[in-house]
Amino acid sequence: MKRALALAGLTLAELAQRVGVALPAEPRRDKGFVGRLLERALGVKSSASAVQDFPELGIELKTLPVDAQGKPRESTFVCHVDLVRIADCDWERSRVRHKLSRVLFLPIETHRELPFAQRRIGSAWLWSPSADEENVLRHDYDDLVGRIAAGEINELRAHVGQAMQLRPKAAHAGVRTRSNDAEGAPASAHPRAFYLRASFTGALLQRAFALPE
Amino acid sequence: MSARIRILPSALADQIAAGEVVERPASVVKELLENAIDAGATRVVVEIADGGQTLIRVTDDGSGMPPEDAALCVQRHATSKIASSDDLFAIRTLGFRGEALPSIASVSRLCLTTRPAAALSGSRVYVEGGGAAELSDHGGAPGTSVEVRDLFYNVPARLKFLKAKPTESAQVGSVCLRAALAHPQLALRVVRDGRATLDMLRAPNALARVQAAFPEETLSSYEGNFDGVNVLAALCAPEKARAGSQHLHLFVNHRPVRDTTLARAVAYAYGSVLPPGRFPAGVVYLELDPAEVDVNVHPQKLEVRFARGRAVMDGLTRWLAKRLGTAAWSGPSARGNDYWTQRLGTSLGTNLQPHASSGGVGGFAAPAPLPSPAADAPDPWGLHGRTGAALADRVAELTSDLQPTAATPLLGQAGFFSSLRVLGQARRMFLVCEGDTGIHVLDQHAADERVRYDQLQRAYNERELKTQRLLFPERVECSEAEALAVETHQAELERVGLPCTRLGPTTVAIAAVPALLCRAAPARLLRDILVELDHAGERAFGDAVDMALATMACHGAIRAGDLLSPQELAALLVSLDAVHDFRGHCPHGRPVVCSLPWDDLERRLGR
Repeated sequence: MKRALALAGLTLAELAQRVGVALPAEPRRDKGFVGRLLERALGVKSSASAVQDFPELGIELKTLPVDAQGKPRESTFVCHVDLVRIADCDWERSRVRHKLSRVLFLPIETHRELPFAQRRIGSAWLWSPSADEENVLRHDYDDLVGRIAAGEINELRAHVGQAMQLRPKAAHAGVRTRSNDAEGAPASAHPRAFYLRASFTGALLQRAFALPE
Repeated sequence: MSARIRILPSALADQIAAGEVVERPASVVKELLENAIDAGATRVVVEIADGGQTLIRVTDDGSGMPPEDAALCVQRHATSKIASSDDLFAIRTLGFRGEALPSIASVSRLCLTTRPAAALSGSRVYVEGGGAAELSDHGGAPGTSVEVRDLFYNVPARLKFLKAKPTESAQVGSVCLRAALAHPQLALRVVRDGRATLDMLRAPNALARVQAAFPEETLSSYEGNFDGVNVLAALCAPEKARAGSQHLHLFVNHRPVRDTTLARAVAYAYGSVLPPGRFPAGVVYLELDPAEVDVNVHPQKLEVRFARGRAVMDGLTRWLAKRLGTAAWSGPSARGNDYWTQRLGTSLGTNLQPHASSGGVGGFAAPAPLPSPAADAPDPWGLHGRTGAALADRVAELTSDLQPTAATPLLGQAGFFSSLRVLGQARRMFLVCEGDTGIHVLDQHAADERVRYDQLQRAYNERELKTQRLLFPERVECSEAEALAVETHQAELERVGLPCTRLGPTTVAIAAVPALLCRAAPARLLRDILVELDHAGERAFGDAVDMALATMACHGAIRAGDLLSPQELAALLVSLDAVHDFRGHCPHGRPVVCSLPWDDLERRLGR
């Protein structure tokens, strides 16, 4: 945490210089650069998506691009969905709950007009869901998993879920993965992942930093 | 060839020694006054001519001396005040070195006449330039008179270092004033070139003497003790403080002293309301066991050394701080008092305000105020709640030649501010309020600053200073020295709720600000606080923190120009009542409120 706090206020260029990596010439084409840069700065060893970034501490690291008003600019990726097995996995044993049990959020200043190199790293803060927040997440999870189990995966749109949503997650639209239909027969679908809605993370930010609503 | 070592003639040795004791006419007067007081005098007359250069005469009604003592007293190291080295460590007299008279006699023409009350006749001793003493019989009143003529006549080099005659006369006046303050029971008259410039009658106690000595000052008095030290203090409001400590008169066991540390201890008691380098005007008397004070530090005996120096200083600061914070420096300022005395032929009374916890004197009974109209009474003029230039102009007109007074005595009363009815906000700067005793104009920034300072200080002391982390730390570009200062003071900054890190050689980041200071601009706040923390070397760290908190309160407070809602106005008044101390002053010492009593208003308007 101390290490994460020490990064607060640095620009991406300064951090890259400290870490000893070059900034990408075209950042838009390297969307994961900021995440990798921070992981390297904080000494994240594991890159496997199944485990947390700091498994010994049980902490997952999440960058949070925010605009000038302190509002998240996009939803936050949580984890991929195994469309075949997820129907048998309840909330308590879910990878979503495991990943979200303790999250180290690192806000990144992301204005359109701000050059990539000058984007600042914000104050890191450690979040664990409160009972109310977990209830909302559990409700969304049960709802989304229920629909997957019912074979409605192809009808499932991003508007479902109050705090968490299910969205396609693949390199391009041609990628397919295994799933089951309503009768449990094998089928295929676009790979999906759980995301925290920007409104949900925005509320977390607002509470943590007393931002205007 | 080098000069040979030789024993100096005694006259020359006396002149050299005189250089330490007799610096100027005022030092002669000081020594002679001390002798008179040690001789038990109840009345002393000091006469000087030409700034003391041609004549100094000190006449007392003390015990006098028999002829043999009179002849001895002008000899070096002849004294009746101590006898053994043990006496040196418990000195109860003002003089004790046996140096003053021979030193004075060595650089002037000295004539001493003295007669014990019981003797039929007296003696006269005449010494010229340190020569042999001529003793003769002399008739005269009981007591002693020492006449010093042509000071430094035989040491012209010393004459060159004397200031202008009025300056030397003023110095003599200061010495006499300090003696008068130290000894209230002493009647003291100072005659300068044939004109009486100071005439102090015997006073019943020290506070009465202080009041007589400083009729123009509004002082608040406190009496008590701490840790075996008796204290009596009469001090001015922070806004009347002076640059330099010459108006702060300090006495240790009735001995006037000039002690920078002691003066600082008094100034520190005001906390942040007194900026560094400023000292209150007033008087502080300390009385403690003579064995705990060493007065034998310098021939002039203006400096003292305490056996428990640190404990006495800290104790005095703490003792005074407790009392000053709730003092109600009251009454019109000196000029205001004169104004009414001259125009109406009535005095508003003494300016010495006893503190509630002390048994001091003074205080005046104000005429019973007329009841103010009920809160729900009709407002035919539409004044209530009015905001704007017209109201401001009217208030300015009514208060134009009033001094911005110290807080009223009512300030000390619980619930004073909450009891005020807000009439409006003038120039988005002042709150105009009506109370039982008159109209009160509050400076909105100073008032809010005091409230925030109090909250910050309380939270700091209770280690509950809540901070608000900034989503993106504020980057501050600064000089390398400032960045280094941030690094150096990192712990202190964190303690005052402003955690910072150094990002680069000339870049620092402010990670959070105290939650109470949502209005503050973090970068400016940091720069100002660094200045205050840099003063930590001059003041104790606690004072530096006080100053830092004061700066923070100032940055976060309501500003002049802010329009306040009725709810905000009411909340501010209620918060002021909850303030622990100095509720009448902002943390930097400016008064929060200026009052115009109803009777003054009625007089001004001819009612």
